[in-house]
Amino acid sequence: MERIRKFRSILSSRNMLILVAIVPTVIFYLVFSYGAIVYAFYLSLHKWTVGEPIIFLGFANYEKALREDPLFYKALWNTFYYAVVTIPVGLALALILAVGINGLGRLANVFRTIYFLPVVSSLVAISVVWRWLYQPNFGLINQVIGALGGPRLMWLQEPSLAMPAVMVMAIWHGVGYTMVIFLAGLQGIPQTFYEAAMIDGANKWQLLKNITIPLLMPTITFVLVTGLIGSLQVFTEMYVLVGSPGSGPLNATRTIVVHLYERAFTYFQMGYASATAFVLFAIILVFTILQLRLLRTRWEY
Amino acid sequence: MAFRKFISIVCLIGLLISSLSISAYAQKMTLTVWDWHAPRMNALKPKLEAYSKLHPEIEFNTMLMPWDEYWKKLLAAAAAGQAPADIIEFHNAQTTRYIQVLEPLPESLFPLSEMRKVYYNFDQAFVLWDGKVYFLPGGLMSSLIYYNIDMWKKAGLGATPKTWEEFRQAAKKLTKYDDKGNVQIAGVTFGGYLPLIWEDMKYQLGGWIYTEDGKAADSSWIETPGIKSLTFLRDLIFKDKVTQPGFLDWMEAFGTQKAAMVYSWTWFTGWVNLNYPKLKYAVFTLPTWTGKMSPAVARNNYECDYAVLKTVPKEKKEEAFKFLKWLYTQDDFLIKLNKELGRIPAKKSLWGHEGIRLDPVLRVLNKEISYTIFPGERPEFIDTAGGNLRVRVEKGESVENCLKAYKEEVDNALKERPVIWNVERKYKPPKQ
Repeated sequence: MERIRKFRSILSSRNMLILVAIVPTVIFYLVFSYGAIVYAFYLSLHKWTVGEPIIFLGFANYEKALREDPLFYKALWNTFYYAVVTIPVGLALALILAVGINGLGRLANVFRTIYFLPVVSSLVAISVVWRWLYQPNFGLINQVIGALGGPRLMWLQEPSLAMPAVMVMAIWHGVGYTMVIFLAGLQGIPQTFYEAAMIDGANKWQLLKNITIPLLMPTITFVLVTGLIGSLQVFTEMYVLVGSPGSGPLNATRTIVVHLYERAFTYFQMGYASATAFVLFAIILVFTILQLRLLRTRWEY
Repeated sequence: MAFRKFISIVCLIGLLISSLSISAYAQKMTLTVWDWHAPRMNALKPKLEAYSKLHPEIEFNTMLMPWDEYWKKLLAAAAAGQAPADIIEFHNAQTTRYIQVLEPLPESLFPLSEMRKVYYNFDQAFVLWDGKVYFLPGGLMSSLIYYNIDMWKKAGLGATPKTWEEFRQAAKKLTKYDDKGNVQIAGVTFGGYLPLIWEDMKYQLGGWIYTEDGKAADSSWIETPGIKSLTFLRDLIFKDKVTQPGFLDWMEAFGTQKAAMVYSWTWFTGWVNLNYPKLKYAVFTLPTWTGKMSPAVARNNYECDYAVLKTVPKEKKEEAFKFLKWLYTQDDFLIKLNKELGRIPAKKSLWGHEGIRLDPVLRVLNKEISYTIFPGERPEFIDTAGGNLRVRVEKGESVENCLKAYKEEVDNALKERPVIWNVERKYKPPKQ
């Protein structure tokens, strides 16, 4: 009797309503996210070229990626190269812009909108414009460089320039987003700290170093962690700017996800592609944990 | 009373009509056709309507999607035992991978003996290694040189070149530079087609794409045929400076009159006519080393068209094949389609048709087509590796290094997935 009463009270309680509300989302995630992840792990242990039988391989796909596939390491190197440059440069630029805009008063909204515009623009459309900017003979960038007496550069065709060219576009595209997050962080810093420091004779650099940056640490951590995850998964920028599948001249812009995509959707090697995805997952996990530990705020105001 | 009777009769008649229409609807069959190329679908649509008029029980549903998506969706659906489309456009570059999901053409509707009589060189391009036919013949496509008529006249050029040396001289005359020496108008540009023109030039020197077993790239890649051909192309860029590394995309360059000549496959005709309808251009056959077409001029792709998926239900499959049988009796469609796609029709009887004979591009293509080689399947990874060849050439790497790296890449890919359908060595040049 007691049990039935308890069950009824659960059914009639607020919990039931919550349960009903979240069940569709949970099912959706279970099937389309977690189900897919579990299936991808299953595939990573098999050889499966779509249309052919599935053959169990154990960890051979992982071994192939880590030991036999030179392109995997090329892709890994390119991915880190991209992350190591775009994250700090993007972060520094965004911080400078945010601090600058934060002090603009009424004009802040105008500049915030201007810098945020690329974020809401289609990356495909943006890449069409950038491709023309980078065109060696008729592009604006080379025209300017030429007018200043510089050489004709093959931005997207020359292997050593292709990745920097992609990075510039990516930073330009993403800086507005990071800037807005920093702006929100800046507005959360009480003005009294600055006033007190200024009474003590602190200059602008000291204000930034000793108040702004330390108090922005949670925001910086968030930006770094999400930036790292995004950078390690970079794909679209390569795919749209240098063309399908995004590997670029002599694999100069081949990142892990480009490699994975090509294996999966050009060669249809789903097992190998899944194994590559799990290697990437492990890398992201390790780096995220490391980052969270290293950047843990050790002080309070 | 009489009014009630009247109402009852009206209701009964209404019921009868609606039940009849429901049963008629139930008997209707919808065939779904998939394609990735809008002009081809546009050419097909009037025939779908015409067939539905002849056979009111058959309706068609058409779907277009981009090339990449097309193949992914098709394979994923077929692997899951589904039939997303009843009739699909097929491309023979995908043969080895997709053959397992295609239904062979039924002998009752498409007897082999008849097909051999009607279509040019049928066995080589359509009877596969298992002796079955899986897709319907389309037409032959190959490469030509497209040139800008006004620029040609302005440069004082007369007859079109027959040899590569004459071609080089013409290209030099057509090139224009700015004051810094950068190419403003390229005499010729091939851009991403560099590996294809190289392949054609190599065929002219007796080289092949594959080894006989299809498990590796032929040794001619890194021997005289390959080296001589790439040296010529590299010299065009660096010595003759008729184009420049990283120059405009060749299609755009030709359309916007930034290139006087381009090497292209004949599908380009449709593209250029659509995008630059005012451009005055003409074509000539690919030059050769000796000026003669023998032993070969270029590669051709003997393109197929429609196929039916194995996973399509039996009744639909039958209707789909019946429709295709009918479609291939429609010569006006075959001519329109092949003109649109820049192909010589597979159906031999159409070669003399004025639509083909008088077409400014097809009549030139017709001259070289019997000197072109059909290799069988040519997987896409050759083009991917070819992209790297172009980068290496444009970087100024030595010809030997470029070819060694190219061959190595293709060898590795062929090791994983050899070409089963390799028929290039069956080519015999026409008797002079």
